Amino acid sequence: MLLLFLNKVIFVYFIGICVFYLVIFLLSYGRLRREKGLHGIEPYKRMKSSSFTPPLSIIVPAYNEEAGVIGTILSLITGSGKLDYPQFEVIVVNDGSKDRTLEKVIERFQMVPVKNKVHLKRNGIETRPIIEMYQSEVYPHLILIDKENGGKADALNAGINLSQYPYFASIDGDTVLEPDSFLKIMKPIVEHADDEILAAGGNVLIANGSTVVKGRVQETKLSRKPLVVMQSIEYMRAFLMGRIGLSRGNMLLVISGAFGVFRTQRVIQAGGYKVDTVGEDMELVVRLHRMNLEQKWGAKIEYVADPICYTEAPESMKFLYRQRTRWHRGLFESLWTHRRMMFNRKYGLIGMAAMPFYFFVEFLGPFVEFFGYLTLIIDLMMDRVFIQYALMLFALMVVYGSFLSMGAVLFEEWRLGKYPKISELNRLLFFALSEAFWYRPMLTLWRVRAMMTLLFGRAQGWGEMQRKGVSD
Amino acid sequence: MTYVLVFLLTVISLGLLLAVYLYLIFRKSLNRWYTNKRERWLETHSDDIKTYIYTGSGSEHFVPEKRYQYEALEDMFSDLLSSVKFEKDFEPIGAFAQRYFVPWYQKRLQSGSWSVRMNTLHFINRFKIEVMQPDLIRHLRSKRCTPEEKFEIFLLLGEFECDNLMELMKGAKELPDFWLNELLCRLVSQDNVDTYVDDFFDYTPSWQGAILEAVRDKHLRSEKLQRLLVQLLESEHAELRVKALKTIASLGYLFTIDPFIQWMDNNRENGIWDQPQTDGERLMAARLMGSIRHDRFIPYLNALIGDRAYGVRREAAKSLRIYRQGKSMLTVLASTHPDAFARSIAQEWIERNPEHE
Repeated sequence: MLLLFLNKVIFVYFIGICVFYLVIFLLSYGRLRREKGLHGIEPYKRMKSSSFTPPLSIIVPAYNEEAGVIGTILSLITGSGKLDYPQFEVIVVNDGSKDRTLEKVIERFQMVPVKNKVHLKRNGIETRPIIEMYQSEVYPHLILIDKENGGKADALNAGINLSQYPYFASIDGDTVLEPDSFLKIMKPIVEHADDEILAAGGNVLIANGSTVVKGRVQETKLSRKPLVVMQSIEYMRAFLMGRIGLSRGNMLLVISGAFGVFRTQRVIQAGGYKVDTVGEDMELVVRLHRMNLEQKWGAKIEYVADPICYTEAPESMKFLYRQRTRWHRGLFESLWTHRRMMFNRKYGLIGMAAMPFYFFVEFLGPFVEFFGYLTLIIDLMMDRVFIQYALMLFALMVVYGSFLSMGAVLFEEWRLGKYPKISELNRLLFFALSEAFWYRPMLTLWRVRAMMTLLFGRAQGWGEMQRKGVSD
Repeated sequence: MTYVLVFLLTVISLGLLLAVYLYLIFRKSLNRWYTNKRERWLETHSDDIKTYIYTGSGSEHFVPEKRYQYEALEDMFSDLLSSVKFEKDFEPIGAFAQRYFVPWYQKRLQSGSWSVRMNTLHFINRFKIEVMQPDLIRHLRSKRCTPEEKFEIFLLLGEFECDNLMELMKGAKELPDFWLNELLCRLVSQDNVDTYVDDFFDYTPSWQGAILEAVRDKHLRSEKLQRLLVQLLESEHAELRVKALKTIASLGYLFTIDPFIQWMDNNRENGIWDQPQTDGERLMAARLMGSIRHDRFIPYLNALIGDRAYGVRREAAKSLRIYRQGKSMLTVLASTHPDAFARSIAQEWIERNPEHE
């Protein structure tokens, strides 16, 4: 009786999710269809040459990033791939790395110590002690902070303390950008007519498989490794469908730590990144939304589809597991910190739609799914399954999920067109169809384990990942 | 019943999945075919195009007829304009665009696709096709014209020095600051700056701010403008006061410094500078005193180096550093100033080079 009831609950839940994703898909479809065919270069030329384009501080927190950090910095400041932005500074924050991150940056860019330390706390956010600050002799707008280990959020806060421009961007130590990425991500901020933009997120693509030379992607290719292809599909779905859809209602709660721009003054007002959480990027965005609504700033958080950054995805189960459990824990911590917003009308769509979505679908979803698998196994063992119906339901799940994945690929084709080969499209379709058979159950299991770990409250740090480095 | 529902949903999803997949295959194949065709066409005509760019004649050998031909030329010419500067009386690209692109652009401005219309406006701007003014005005009045398109058109009309731009802008959505600044940069020049100064107080605050930004950006100078800038220091709008200071600092010139010193004295005596809302003004005043170096400013900078706002202290120290005796003045301040923050920032700027900032 109980199982029957639970089966019905799961069915209703399943239909609810399908409807919600369809709405998100349609919202994204509307926006991307409008932008389909928009020239990739011409709309940004004015901003590139204008003296009214606001300068930007780019913060690169690095912890044990010796494999990727040089490529990331190179992609920002030098060579043919140099960032196409009128005025910017780059602040690399070495968060007490145990490898040769610090030495490599000092050597490669001829960093010399800046003796005075007055300005290290100029924006007033408390951080772990700064050991030394360096400035490049070759590129004066490149700064390096060496500080005691305090986690990624603390490293970002140290960078914010030093940033002197009205907007700052946070990118990961292994991120590779396209030269015009910042022009594109800043466009809605610069040209927005009505509301203040608190933050803007851009598109993250997976670099594995692509050809990256001296911090610049020469050719985007889809990896041949199943685990990476699955992550590519996930990223397309999350960024081009989920985030665009949610941002249309100003409901976006996550801006990826790999690539986002924030209004410096507002983040300082909010007290910077929260240090005792592993989901600092999401927590900050939720806090900014909260302050925006409480203090009636009338501001928005935007997501832009065409600015691209590339990041290295985990290629082994071990590191993917670590990454995903960390993300799940971060999700919970953000939701828990701001639980007062949940179903609170005062917070409008954030409280009534976005927060419940992240809690019931993103956070609890794996648990419900896990329970679904469990009841199916029990029912099979007790011979209580209407096999045809169960298979039909499973087929729907596979086909619908694949449709959404292909929808995201369609959006990618409309707005980015980075994977022109039909063989790549076939691979994407094949793996999208296979997702429900291996990748999804695997992630479900990991997330459930993450939920269990939450109960024991084991702390996590940067979530180290063995990086090969994407740049030659 | 549920079984049928699930079956139907599965069939619909499968249909959609197949449709998207087939569409993607078609689109990718079409893109490849289109790119190849475009490259081949460019290759075939590359010598003719080169000859035309060098001599300005022979355009009839590569007249575009198909979409891919227009787009290939657009991108090629746009790239060229980014890297090559032509003589004033020899503009083969502008001439070509005016001769062959106008009918194509007229048609594309009527397109139902927002992206197509936006791309068209960007290229009209790129090639400065002034003869399209009537088409732009017509499009501006059409129901289809979105705010983004209107902003682009206003800028284009500003660029083309359209006579009734102000009339056309009436009733339109207020331009965001970036667009307004860009527009005023196209409108205000050394020849007409006094006209803008005369009518300054008839403009809205956002236009006033944009006029000052244009003056600053283009380094325009006139006596009337100087008088206006000094007068604006007494404006009731804080933003205008800051912009006026910023403009003076950027121009690096004041015909007399007395009113400015008087203004600073008043602010200090009346406690106005003790208010946190005036941080921006103090910062800009400090910058101005670094830009227009005068011995009478030094006591004020010595006071501002002990300001409670970090930005003001930093700017005052930086300005002092620019003075001929800056380093020695900062050395004295670093050991004698009663305020610890002032001593620290003075110490910092002894070592730093303002030119690297």
